[in-house]
Amino acid sequence: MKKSQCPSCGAPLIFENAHSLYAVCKYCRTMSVQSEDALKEVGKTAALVEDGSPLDLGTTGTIDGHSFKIIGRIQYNFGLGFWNEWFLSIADDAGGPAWLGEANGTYFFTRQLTKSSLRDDLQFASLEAGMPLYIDDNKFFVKDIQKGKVVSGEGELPFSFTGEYEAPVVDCVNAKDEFATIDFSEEKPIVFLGKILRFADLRLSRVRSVYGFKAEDAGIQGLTA
Amino acid sequence: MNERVDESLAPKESASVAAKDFRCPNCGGPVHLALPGKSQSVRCGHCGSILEPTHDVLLLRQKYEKAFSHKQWIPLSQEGVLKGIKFKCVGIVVRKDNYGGSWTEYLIFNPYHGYRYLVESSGHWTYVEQLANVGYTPNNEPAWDGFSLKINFAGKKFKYATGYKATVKNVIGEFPWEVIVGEKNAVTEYLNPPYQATCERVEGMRDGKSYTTESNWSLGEYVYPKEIQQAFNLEEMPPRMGFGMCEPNPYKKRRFFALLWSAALFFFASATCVISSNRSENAKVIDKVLPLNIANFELKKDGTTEYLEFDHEEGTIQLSKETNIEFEFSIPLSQQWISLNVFLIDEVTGKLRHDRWKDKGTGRWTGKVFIAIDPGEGS
Repeated sequence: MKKSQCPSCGAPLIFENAHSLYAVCKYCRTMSVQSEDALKEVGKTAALVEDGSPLDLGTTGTIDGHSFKIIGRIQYNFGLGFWNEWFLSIADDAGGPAWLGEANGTYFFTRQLTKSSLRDDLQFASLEAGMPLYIDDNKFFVKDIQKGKVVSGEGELPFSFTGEYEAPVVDCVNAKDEFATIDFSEEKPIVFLGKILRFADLRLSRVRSVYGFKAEDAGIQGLTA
Repeated sequence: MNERVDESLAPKESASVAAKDFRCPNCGGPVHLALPGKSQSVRCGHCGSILEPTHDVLLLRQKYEKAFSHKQWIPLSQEGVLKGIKFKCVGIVVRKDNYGGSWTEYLIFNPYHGYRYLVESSGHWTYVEQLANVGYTPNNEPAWDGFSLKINFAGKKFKYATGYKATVKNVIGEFPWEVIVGEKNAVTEYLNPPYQATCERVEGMRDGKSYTTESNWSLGEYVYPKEIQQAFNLEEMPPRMGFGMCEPNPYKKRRFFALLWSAALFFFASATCVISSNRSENAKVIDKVLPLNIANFELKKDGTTEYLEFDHEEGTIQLSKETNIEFEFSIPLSQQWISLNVFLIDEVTGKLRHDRWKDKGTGRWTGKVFIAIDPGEGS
C-alpha cells in the first residue's frame, strides 16, 4: 500500500496493488504515473458515463475461493453499449494483473499473460469469428471481434489509456467455458486468459443501487448496497 | 490546492441512474427511457419511430408507423420476482418465422443478473438467458453455423429440433441492441426438456457467399404459466394450445404407475394361466383308430355339392369334474374334403351336451377340437 498525493490537486492518492503504475485522481480526474519515487502528471481524463453498472470501486467478492477488491476501471464504448474492465486486487496473489470484464449481467474474470504462444506479429485483421486459435496448446475459437473506444477510467491501473483511443479486441471461448481476450491496441497482442462467470459466481459483498433496484432484488443472500 | 477531508471513496450518485424523459426528434412527443446508459434503441409511443438514445438526445433511426397492437400479457414496465430475482419488463418484440408461426418475446431486466427473455408462444412460456459461450459438437468443435445433430451447451446435452428464419414484426419499449423492424436472423433450436438451446446467427456476405458473422447462443427453460402469472401478478394468461417446444412430458409422473399396473395385470394373467393349466388332469380318456369304409357312407346333396355322410358312435367317456376335453383327429386325405362333427350326449339325461365341428380340405389333417364341458347330473 502506497500513499501519495495527486500532483495536480494534492488530494490523497492510494496505490494498493503492486501492478498499479497509474492512478486517476477521483477529485480532479488527473491521471498520474509512478516515476522514480514521485508521481508525474499524465493528463486529465474524461468523465465516465453512467452505464448502470452494479459494480464500483471498493466492491469486494470471491472468485474460486480467492478474495478480490475492485481498485480500478476502464470504461469502453463498443458502439453496441458500454463495457467495463474492472481492475482487481487479489489477496496474497502472485499472478499477473487480474481483471473483471462486465456488462449487462455477463462477467469475465481474466489474468493478463506476460507471454503466450501467440505470434508477436499476429494481425487483428486476419482473425474471423468461428476460426480456431491456439493459446499455449489450449484450443480456443474466436467468438467476437470488436473495436472499442475508451471512454475513461478511474482508480489505479497497471497501464494508462487515452481518450479517442480505439482498442481492437478479439474475444475467444472454448468448450471448457474458458475465455480469452486479445487486445491489439499495442504493437504486440496482449492476451488475457480466464473464465466466464455469472453474477451468482462472484459472491459480491456490495453492489450499487441502480434504476430503482436495490441489492436485495438480486435474490442473493447477504448482498448489500 | 484543494483540501479534502474525506479519505474514503467518494460515493457515486445513485440518484442519477434512474429513468429519463426525452422528446422524440420525429414527432416531439414525450419518450420515457427506463434504462439510460443501457438501452440502445427505444420506440416512440406516439409516432412509432425507432430512436437511438445518446447522453442527452434521441436520434431518429428508423421510421415505422405500425403501432404495437399486440396484447401485452406482461405490460411494459411491470415488475415481478421470478426465480427469486426481481425483474422489470422493459421491451416487447413480436417475431414471426417462415412457417407462418409467430411469438412474443418479453425483455425483462435486472441490473445485477442482466437481461432475460420470456418467450411466449401459443400460451407456452420459456425463460431464456443469452450465454457468452456457444454450443459444441460431441467432438468439441463449435457449432458455429448452428447445425449439429447433437450439441453440448451449458453443461447439458441437446438434440437438434428445428431451424427457421426469424423476422422482427413489431416492437415496443427499449432494448440494449440496435432494433430493426424487419431484421431477419437464422435460428436453430435444440431440445432437452425442460431445457432448450437456441442459436441465433447473423449472416453477412463475402465473395457472393453468405457466412456467419455472429453466433449467439441462449439457454431456455420451460416455465409453467402459473409461475409467470404469480411472479408478475397478472390477471390473465394466454391459453395454452398443444405442447410447448421444451415442455417436459406431462405424463412422465404417471409413467411409473402405468408400469406398475401393467406389471400387476401381467402377473395376474400369467398366474391364472399357470394355475388353471396345472389343475388340468391331462388324462387320456379315449384313444382309438377308426377304420372308415366309404361304402358305409351315405351320399347326400347340399345345393350343387355332393358329399358322403357317416355316423359313428364311439363309446362313452367318463368325466368326474368340470374340465376341458381336447379331441385330436389324424386323417389322411387326398383330393378330398372332410367335415367332422363331435356330439357329446349325456348318458343319463340323453341331452346333447355339446357339438362342435371343423372343416378341413386336402392334405393330412391333424386337428384338434376343444370342448369345454362339465359333468352335469350324469357322467
